[in-house]
Amino acid sequence: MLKDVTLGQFFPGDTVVHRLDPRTKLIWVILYIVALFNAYDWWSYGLVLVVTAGCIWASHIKPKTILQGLKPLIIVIVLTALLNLFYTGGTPIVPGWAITWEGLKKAVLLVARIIMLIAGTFLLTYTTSPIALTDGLEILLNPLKKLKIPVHEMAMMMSMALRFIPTLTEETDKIMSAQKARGADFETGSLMQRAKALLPILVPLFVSSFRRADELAVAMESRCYHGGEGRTRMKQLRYAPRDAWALILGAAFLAGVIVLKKFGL
Amino acid sequence: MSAIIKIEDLHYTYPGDEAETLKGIDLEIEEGSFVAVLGHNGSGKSTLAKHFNAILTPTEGKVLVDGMDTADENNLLAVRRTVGMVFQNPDNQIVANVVEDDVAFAPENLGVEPAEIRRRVDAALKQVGMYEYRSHAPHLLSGGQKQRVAIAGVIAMEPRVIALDEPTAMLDPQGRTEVITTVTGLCRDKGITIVLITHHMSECIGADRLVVMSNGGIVSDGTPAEVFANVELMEREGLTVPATTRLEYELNRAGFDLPLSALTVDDCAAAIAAQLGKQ
Amino acid sequence: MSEIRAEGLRHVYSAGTPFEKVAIDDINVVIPHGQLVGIIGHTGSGKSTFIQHLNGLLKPTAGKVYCDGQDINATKQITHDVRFKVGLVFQYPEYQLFEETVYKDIAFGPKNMKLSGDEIDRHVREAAHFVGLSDELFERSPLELSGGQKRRIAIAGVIAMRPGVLILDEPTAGLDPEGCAQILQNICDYRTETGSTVILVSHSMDDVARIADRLIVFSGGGIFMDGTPQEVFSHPDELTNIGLSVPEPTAIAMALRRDGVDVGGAIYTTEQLISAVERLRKGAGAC
Repeated sequence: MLKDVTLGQFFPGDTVVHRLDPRTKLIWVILYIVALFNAYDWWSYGLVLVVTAGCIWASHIKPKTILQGLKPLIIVIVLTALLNLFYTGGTPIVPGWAITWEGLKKAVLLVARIIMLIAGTFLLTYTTSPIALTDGLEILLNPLKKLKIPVHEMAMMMSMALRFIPTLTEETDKIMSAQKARGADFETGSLMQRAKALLPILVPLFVSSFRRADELAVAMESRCYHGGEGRTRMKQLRYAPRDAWALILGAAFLAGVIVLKKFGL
Repeated sequence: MSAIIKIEDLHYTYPGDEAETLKGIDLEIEEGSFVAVLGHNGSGKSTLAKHFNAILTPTEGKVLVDGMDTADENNLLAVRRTVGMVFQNPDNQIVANVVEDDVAFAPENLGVEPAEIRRRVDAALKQVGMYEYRSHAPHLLSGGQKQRVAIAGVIAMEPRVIALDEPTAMLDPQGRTEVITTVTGLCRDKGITIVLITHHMSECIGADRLVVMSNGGIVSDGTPAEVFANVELMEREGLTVPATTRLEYELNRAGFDLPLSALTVDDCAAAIAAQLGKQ
Repeated sequence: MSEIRAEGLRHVYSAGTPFEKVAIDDINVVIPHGQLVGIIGHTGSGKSTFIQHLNGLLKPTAGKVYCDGQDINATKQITHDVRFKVGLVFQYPEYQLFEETVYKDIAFGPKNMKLSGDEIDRHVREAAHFVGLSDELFERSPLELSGGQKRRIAIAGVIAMRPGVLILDEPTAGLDPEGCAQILQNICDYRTETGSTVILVSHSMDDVARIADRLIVFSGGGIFMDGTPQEVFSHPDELTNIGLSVPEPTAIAMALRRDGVDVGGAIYTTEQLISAVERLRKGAGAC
């Protein structure tokens, strides 16, 4: 059941998107998010949609996989849609109804924004291995080291957290099965009862996570880990012409959206 | 052959404990040998293993790795480069999301040149038979495969000793065979010293030397044939002997004259067949 | 009392996706009350999938599972209740302990059965007795105790539900030889004293050979062999052909046969081997 959670997973591939430098992709995501939040009306949203679809197509990631990633957020999406649908003033679709044309449009656009936001950021983790991601982040944030911010340690924590997501979901599944085998019920009862029912899952999970962290630390130290000083990397990040093109396209895309916005589109 | 690890009167008490876990161990491990350390749970064998690469340092006594005192903090990295450790839980050793990235972890920590890291990673993966899996995600591998990746991660440091703390405890029989075959090969073909902590008797048959621990001390030390021959001692320690040894022991009590050194199934059968043929 | 019956049982994981996998197919088996059954098979042969169907944790893709003649998946309530009749102890069960005290953790199952305080107390004490846990440990935190003790607490937690069928998945995994022997003895004693069915999934041929009344061998998602240890181990070559190991005495017997010494019959314990060899010596000699 929990195996369907694709959050943080990496799908290896050899597409141009996969081969882009992770730093390029990180910068792209920022440009993308800025563009997304500047999108104003049908035309600018349309441009973002086209670009998003283009990226998904270029990465060969199945749309179905992206949709699966949206599953955990279905509540947020539906809530946003409903709130905007019912609480936007304007011309009612059917006289006497609370739903207005403006509300409908707003709901559609905002839902589209959420979906594209998720899709865009997921595309990042789907096409970039966590090691490449954290390496890219670490290099981009390196200047912050001067401000005594532990950039390497944070990057290390992130990459390890990502590595353990599938392992932890597997473990959670096992714990749930074991407690269900003793009659634990996670599906019935009031909200309070269901929250209490989570204790038999959370406590073992926490305990095992602490033990895991301890063992990992010992294993890492046994392999001579001593922080970021003097560390080299087997896989070196190198910019290629495609990165320059991607960044130019990204900048052009953002410019396009802002221009459309200026024209009220 | 010189001793790559020398342990002199090692005492160790865990912080907060009243009793000593290790009560004065003297041990020398010869370079290039395959040593198995046996003992029931609580005998101190894991505690001993953790002293090999300075995860723990002695409360009293000395541990010398290639002449270096493990208690000296300046020696820490050098000691850990010389003695690599593989642990029991396959998952809790793998740090990266892709097999080859994990194997590269140690040389990266040591500041090795990228091209050299690549060479070592490929060589290490080939040595453990996991080269085809180099781009795979570790969580999809079997237990035995994960442990082999962990071993490769240690080999990439080019250590002279690999200590394995109950590496097969969480594996199925196939995984167990994979791991033991791999480390035996590393010892015999590459001359890497292997120290295997275990309580599976069948894994020790191919070792050069068995050390049996009990209650923080060493109670038996010799070749597998010598150690297993002392069936009473093994049982007293809550350990078993291989079925071959038990069979030979019991048959000898019934009047046979079988060598207790016939540890493998084939040797044992041949010895019995020979005895019966002589009638 | 608690007879388990599987008919045409089939389970497909991730059906309809590229990761689709048929874990078990066409499983038909009847386990009468009171048997001690050993389930063996290589990793991936379907054993874990099979046992999780017996207490309703997994639903069949096709086929049915009956407990005492009733389809356990007939209604949600029945499925929920069958967990108290068919107790399942997973591998490394000590990782599921969560309560503040040993007593409370063992009481979790009985509590879910909605028993009275007195009944819960009786169930907990009895279960602790079966696994050899002393009362003094009741108020301790389970997390402070040793691995072996934690495992006993976890097993007690399932026994406390007084299931008519007790299923244990690799109960001796990770234990040292003494720990193994103790747990197996506890399981045998439990079966003798309560008469419950016990199903043991194990990779250790030597363990199951010694204590099981019946062995079910899984291979590639189906049942490959089903019989007494006597019957199953008379075909050691077939077992090795499907990638299974055989008990060490059996392996020695096979090697002896290759060397021209026929120890005959089905050998799967050291005692049998010793008797067989001694008989040959007293006889006219081998070869």
